[in-house]
Order: sequence, then C-alpha cells, then structure tokens
Amino acid sequence: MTETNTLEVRHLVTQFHTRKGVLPAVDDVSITVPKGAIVGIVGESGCGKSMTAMSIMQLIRKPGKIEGGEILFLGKDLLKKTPKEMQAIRGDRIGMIFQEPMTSLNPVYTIGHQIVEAIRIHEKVSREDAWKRAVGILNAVGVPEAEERMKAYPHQLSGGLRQRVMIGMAMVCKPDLLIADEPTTALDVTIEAQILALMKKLRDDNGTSILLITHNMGVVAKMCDYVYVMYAGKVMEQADVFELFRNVQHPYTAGLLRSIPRIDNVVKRLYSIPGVVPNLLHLPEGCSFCTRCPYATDKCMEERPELRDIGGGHCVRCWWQMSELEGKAAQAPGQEDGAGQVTGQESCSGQAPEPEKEAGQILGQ
Amino acid sequence: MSTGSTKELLRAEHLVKEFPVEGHKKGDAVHAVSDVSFSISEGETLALVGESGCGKSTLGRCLIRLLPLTSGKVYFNGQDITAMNERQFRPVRRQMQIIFQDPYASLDPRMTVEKIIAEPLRANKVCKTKEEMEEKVLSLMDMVEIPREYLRRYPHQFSGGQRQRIGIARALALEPRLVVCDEPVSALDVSIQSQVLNLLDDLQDQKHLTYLFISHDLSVVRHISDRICVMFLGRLCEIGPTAEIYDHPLHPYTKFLLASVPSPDPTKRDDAQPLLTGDIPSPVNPPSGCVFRTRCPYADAQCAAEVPQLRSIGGHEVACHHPLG
Amino acid sequence: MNFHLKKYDPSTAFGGSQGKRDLRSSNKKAENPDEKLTAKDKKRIELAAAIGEQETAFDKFKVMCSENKLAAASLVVIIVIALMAIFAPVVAPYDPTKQDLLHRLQGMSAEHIFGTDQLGRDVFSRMVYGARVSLGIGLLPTFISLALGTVLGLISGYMGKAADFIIMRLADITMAFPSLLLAMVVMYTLGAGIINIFLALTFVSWAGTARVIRSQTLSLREMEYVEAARSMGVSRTSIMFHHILPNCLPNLIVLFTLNIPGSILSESSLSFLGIGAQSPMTSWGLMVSEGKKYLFTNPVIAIAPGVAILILALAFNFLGDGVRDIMDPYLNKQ
Repeated sequence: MTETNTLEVRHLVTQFHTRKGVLPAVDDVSITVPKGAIVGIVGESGCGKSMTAMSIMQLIRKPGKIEGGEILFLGKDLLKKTPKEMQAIRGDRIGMIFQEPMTSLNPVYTIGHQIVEAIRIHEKVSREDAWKRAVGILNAVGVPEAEERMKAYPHQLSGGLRQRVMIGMAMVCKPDLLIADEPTTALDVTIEAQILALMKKLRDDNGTSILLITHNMGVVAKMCDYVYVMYAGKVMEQADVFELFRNVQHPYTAGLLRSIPRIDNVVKRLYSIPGVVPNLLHLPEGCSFCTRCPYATDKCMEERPELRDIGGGHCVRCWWQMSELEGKAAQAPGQEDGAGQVTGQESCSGQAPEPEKEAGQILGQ
Repeated sequence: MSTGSTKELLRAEHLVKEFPVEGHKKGDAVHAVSDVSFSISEGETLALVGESGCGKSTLGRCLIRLLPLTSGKVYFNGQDITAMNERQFRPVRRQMQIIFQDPYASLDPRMTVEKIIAEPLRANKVCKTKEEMEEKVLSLMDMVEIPREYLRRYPHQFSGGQRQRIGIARALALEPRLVVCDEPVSALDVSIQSQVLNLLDDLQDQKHLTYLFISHDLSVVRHISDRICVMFLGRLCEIGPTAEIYDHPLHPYTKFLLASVPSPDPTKRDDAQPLLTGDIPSPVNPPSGCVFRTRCPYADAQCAAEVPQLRSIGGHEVACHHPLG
Repeated sequence: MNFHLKKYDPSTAFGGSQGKRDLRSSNKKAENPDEKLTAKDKKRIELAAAIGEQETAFDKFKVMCSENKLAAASLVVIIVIALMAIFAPVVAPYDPTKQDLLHRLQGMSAEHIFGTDQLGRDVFSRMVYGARVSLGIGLLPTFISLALGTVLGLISGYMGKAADFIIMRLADITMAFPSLLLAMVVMYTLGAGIINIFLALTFVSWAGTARVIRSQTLSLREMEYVEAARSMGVSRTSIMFHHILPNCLPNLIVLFTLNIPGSILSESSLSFLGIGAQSPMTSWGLMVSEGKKYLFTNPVIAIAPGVAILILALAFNFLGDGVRDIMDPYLNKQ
C-alpha cells in the first residue's frame, strides 16, 4: 500500500468554528493519490476543495481545525507530525502552487534569491550549488534566459512566467507530491495550455504525483487520471476520468457537465442547475444536493447517502444512479418517492481501485 | 442568426486609445486600442474575445464613453457620440449600459438592492412618484428572478450569481438598446454561469437587446454570440460570424486560441497539439508590423514591415498577410 | 453524453432560495401549491429561509457587545459620564460654586469623595458639572471639524485639479504649525470663551480629516460601482455623497473617536494655560490646572479630574475600534 500510493487521505474532517456555528468545510473526505498519477479534485467555490489541500499541508488557520481522519503521506500520518517536522516536509517532499503566483512570491527579493533560499532551507548545499540548481530548474520549467531572470523581481515577470517560477520553486527539491490549487485559473488560455503541458511533462520526467484542484472540467478532462467531485464539503462522485465523463452517475456531476458551454457541441439553451450552493451552516438533513437536485425524493431529503462503490472504483454519494433516474423520469416522474431500492450497497471508503491495477493503468498511458 | 438585413446600431471608426505611462520618457504610451473599426447591428450579439491586456475592456468602455478616446469616431444610431458634449450625450447614455465582470466590486456595499436598482431611475428622473419607482424596482427584480422579499438586503448577503443578476437589473432599468457585457460570467461558478447566460439570452429575446459581449472564455462566446471580433494587443485580428470563425479560423492567432481551450472530454486529449509559445508583447512597445508576429510560426519579413489591414475572405474579415486557408 | 436530465424549467432557476411560488419540486407539479405541499417542499422552504436570515444593525451591535467586552464597557462608561453631565444638578451632592473656606483642601472622605479644593468647593460636584464642558468640547468641535474636513476631502479627492491643489495646500499650511500653538493663536485673537474654543479646535483639526478622506476618495472613485454610477448618468455630487461618503464611514468613525480625546486633551491644555474655560465655570482640564499647585499637599484634586480625562479618552478609543469592526460589511461574510 505504502509503495504505490503517494498520498492517502482517510475520512478527513476539517471544521471552522464560527460564531454562527460549526462549518463543516471538509466532511469525511477520503482521497488517494497513486504514485505518478494526476488526481483531480473538482467542484465549485466553497465546496471544500481548497480546504482539503490546505488540510493536507496543515495550513489551516483558526477558527479552522482538522477534527479527524488520517493523512498518510508515503505511509506516514502527517497529522501525527510536529509543526517542525511538517515544515520540513512542506516545500521539500510536498510542493504547492497557488492560483495567484504574485501572492506567494515575495516582491522585495529576486526570483533567484527566493529559489536559492527554498533549496537551502531543506538541503545543506552551498549558495553556488543552489544557484546552479535554481538556474537548472528554471530552464526545466521553460523560463527563457534563466540566468537573467534569476536577477529579476517578481513584478518584472508576466503572469505565465511567474507561474512557471512558482512551479520551478515547488519542484526544485523533487517532491513526491505536488499540490496545485487552481494553477491556471488566473492565466489566459494560451498560457494555461503551456502550464498544463509543463505540469504533465514534469510528472512524466520525475514521476511526481500531482493533486490538481480546479473548477474547470476541461482542465480535469485534459490532465487527470482519476477525479473526485466535491460538493458542500463532501465527495459526491469519484471515478477514473474516462469512466466519469463517459458514464456519469451522480446528478450533480451530470448537471455540472451539462451546464458548461462547449466549443465542440453547441446547444440552443444551456442546462443549469437550479438554485445556489447551500450555506454550509444550514445543510439539509439528507443529501447536501437535495435542494437543487431535479430527482430528489423524500428519502433524499431525510437520509444522508453514503459514498458507495458501483463497480470499477466508481463511487457515488447518492441513493440512486443516473442510469436508474433517467429511466424512472421517463416513465412516471416522481411517482416512486421514497421507494428506495438501492443497488450496490457495498460501502466505499474512498480507496481508489486496486492500487496495482490503478498504477499500472496510469503508467501504461 | 443572420444579421445582414437588420439595422446598424453602432459603428466604430478608427478608434485609438492610448494611456500615458508615468515614469517613462515623454510620448511613451500604452497602446490599448489601435485603429479599430467595426459595427454592431441591432439585436445581435457581437463578442469581443482576446487574452488579458488585449484592450477588449478598454474598447468596450470607450464605446460608451466611460473612457475618453484618443482619436476615432463612434456612431450610435447614426449620431456621432464622440462629438457630443455632456448635455447632448445624456439622452444617448441611457441607451447604452454596461454589466461588469466582478459582481463583488460593481455593487456599492452600503446600498440596499432597492437603492442599487433605483439609482439609474432616480438619476434620470424616470419615475414620477415613489410608488411608481418601487413598482418598477420590483418588476426589475422579478425580471432577473431575485425574490421580492430581498428588497432591503445588502449585496454581501447575496451569492455571486445573485449579485450579477442585480447588476443586470440595474443595467436594464433604463431600457437600453445596447448593453456592454464586460466578462459578465467569468467570476461565477460553472453551475451559476449557465443560469446567468440563459437569463441574458432570455432578456435579449424579450427586450430586443443588442449585446457587446466581452469575454476571454471561448466556450461561452461560442454559445452566446452571433458574430465575433478577435483582438490581440489592441488590434483586430479577425471578425466574422461565430460558426465561421470557430470552424474555419483564418488568422493563426484565432486558430491557436481555439486549440488552447481544454475540451471537457478526456477522449479528446491531444498532448501533441501545437502550443502557442511565448508571452504577449508589451503594449508600450508593440512589435512593428503585425503585432502577433513575435508569437506566430508563419511570420516573415513582410509581417515585420507592414501592418496587415482587415480584408474580406470567405465571409469574414481577417487582418493577416498569410491567412490560413 | 449518453444521459439526459429532465428538461430544465427556467422559472425554477432559483429553486432553493426563492419564494413559495417557485419552490415546487420539478418532479411533482402540483396544481394547487398550498394544498399539495409535500414534506419535502416544506423543508425546502425552511432551508431557504435559514440561508439568508437578515442581520439588523441592532443585531450587529449586540454581537459587538457580546464579543468585544472592552467596547461594551467603554460604551457604559461614556453613557454614565453623559448621564452625569445631563443630570448634574441631581447627581452632584453639593453646589459646585459654593465656597466653604473652613473646609478647604480636604482629602478624600465620606462627605467629599474626592475632597475639596482650595476654596472648599466639592471636587466631585465640580467634576460632574465639568463633564458638561469636557464632553461638549469632545463632541461638538470634533463633529464640526469632521464635517468640514470630510466635505473638503471629498471635493479634493473626487474633483481633483485646481480644487485639490488649493484645499491640500491650505491643509499643509494648517498642519505645518503645532496644533496647540495654532489653537492658542486663535484663542488670543478671539479671546477666551467656550464658543471660541470650539472654533479654535475646529480650525486645527479639519486638515487631518480632509487628508484621510481625500486618499480614501482617490481609491474609492476607481471602484467599479462608481464607474457603474457614472455609466448610468449619476451626477458627480450624488456619486460623492451617495457612494463615496458612505464607504468612508468606517474611517470617519475611527477619526471621530480618535479626535474626541484629542479635543478633550486640547481643551484641557488650553484651560490649563488659562485661555480655555474661565472660573467659576469649570472643565476637567481647568480643574487639573487649578489643582496642580496642591499636587504635593492634596494630590487628589488634580488626579481625580486627570484620571477622568484619561478614562473618557480611552473609552472613546475602544468604542471606536469596536464600532469600526461591525461597520465593515465584508467582515460579516463568513
């Protein structure tokens, strides 16, 4: 288990204690990132995807707190590490890149200085060696005239170059895991395509696992091997990327996919999921999505569904499956409210499918 | 979709907008918009697409006189609005409104929804009585599907999508003919984005609106627009009917731009696709000749020497010396 | 895409958070919504109501009082002092001007809590009456100078050009002098007296406000909602007073509460120097001034009003911080 999976998050719970109540930002989330895989977490703002990443890095600030679960990184639980040990892991074994590179680069130091410092925090090397390595990594991430750029300040670079520098800094210690939180959201499409290609190349060259957090289904489809769809702090659906897009089973994922306008498939009118994302303080008793779900039944309103495996590592947190719901909706809409007959009751604790198989599949691509 | 027979609502001729740069030597300027000419027909949606810094937002603001032009002329409904003074422009201004990108910044945080929507009515003295005003505000709220009981709430009590609806209600309060939509959905979540797009679509049908839809999101543009203008570094690259442009792009930039959009379909992954290299050049010192030539794989000596002019090829216009065919 | 969702009905686009009207589930289209509301629908309505409960200014105020104990305590102190000033004849045990030369310069006792001064007047009673002047001086000139500074700052920041230049140079000139010196010059020209103290204090403190409001205006006028107002044809005056001014409010409150102790202290200094409040009328500053001669023999007659000034100044500061926090509309998002 430890050798094939870089990261295993098990039943992670992160809550924010506000004066209006407890906010379950991350609620029983289990995620597995196999070695060398790109795993995506996709969802809308406020669904808890960034909070999951912050929890893994243990960068949650008050009033937030990790309340439970395990975060196994290379087989060891990060939650049992001291803050000092965690600091040594961050930036060394786990790299992170953020949406807005400008906020994570210090404006008063040169790029070179910052990369050299990043290296020297984690490794005992001389300044000259670190400098050479920094130039090397900038070349590797496609920064032109790397020697020159080392002496530049962050504001002298364009957005795309800054993001490349950020990726370079995150990769300089050859981490086992790279967490990318909306790495291309602030960038233009042509630059986005460059950055995504770069991340893929780094994965292929170094075997780094990547946890990619995004709201963009296009980016997921293009990059990921395995996908988790989050909504209101919970994983709603998880599957291999091809399986998910071919055979979507959760009404939320289905609605999400149908509501994106597409270049290759023009429709007269876009589907849209009605309503707004619920307030995490006032979640429905039953399924979190029941207030917006076109198929919601009484059972959905009252009982909270668990994530269950419907075969081949495809898990759905829903009392139904899209394939059943469509048939029903076509026959007699709403006639069988509450008559829940659930198939595939087998519980799914969030492990990705058979590790060996998964890893093989990915490496084989 | 065809707009050939309908009336021209707005025509822009040789628009130029430059911003002086501080700290540089005199005469240096950001060339935000350079020699742009196009027209919009009544009832159509013309999309202005391009990457950040290409001048599309500046152009949109110049058209409705939110920013002064450096040179060029804008005709609205046949009248030259660039030659008007403030008083003459006032009745025209009502007919051209704008919807902003950021629903958090575009609503005054200290005003209630009622005040926000009533503001244009009040400023233009549209309603005679208080009752009439309230009735009008409520009907505008109905129009954008904001529940009436939220009348006295503040913007921060709404989600992004709801705020954008409020912004739309405010823009439509004066019953404009032209609405400049400046990235109206790019700050919204996917599921909310489609709600707002559908709303804009419905309103256009009901009120016979003309949209200038500014966006960097090519999927959204494909969905909503009738015609498209592609901009790069302040200049128009290509202009034509949407389907034409997407199916047969003639300008190399358009082609690369379209190829860069990730498709939400993993079976269409193409890791070998050609990528556009390099960054957008500085608008302070744009390249000579064709502004795209530094990133263009087809560029040659002619591209460096001459600025390509828009010319008509196969149903759309393109500004390129070597159009793809 | 090998799946089809049910046809989407745009009228339910707001689903969860709309009124009853649109809360019917899209699965069941009941003919009479009130009659056939299912348990599910009722739950939707409940949830919708819970999502956006409205917070009134009073609610926010209550939150401030419960979370910021210091601000709440400060508020109580200010109210107590204000009530004392208003009901001075009732509160004060003695007539503040009644001299009793037999019992002069007494220390603290049950009869005279803070003792008596050099003329045998009850110090506590004099403090109660003195609160009227000190509190009035704290509030009124601050208010006037704030109003003046705000208007000038708004004009300077929004209009720019010549107006900006003239106003800001005037502000530079006023700020170039030490404020106490300037106030003294004004007082000497106009003569002593309460109204003149008001004028002098207004004159020295408008410039700071004008500068703060100007810089705030410069950033606010670039906001998109100001641009939106311009695009709708809203006049410049209206933009200044309906958009920019309300958004300066948190800053104004901080300025207000910071200037109040400043004014109180300036008045104390002026009175201390003998050009402020004149006997037999009194203020806390004047009392400190009169008591300083007896600092070694009977310190309480100077210390008691001095501590009162300190407490009042601090109370306004703490309250200002608390109010500013709840005034911020962004702070209550989470």
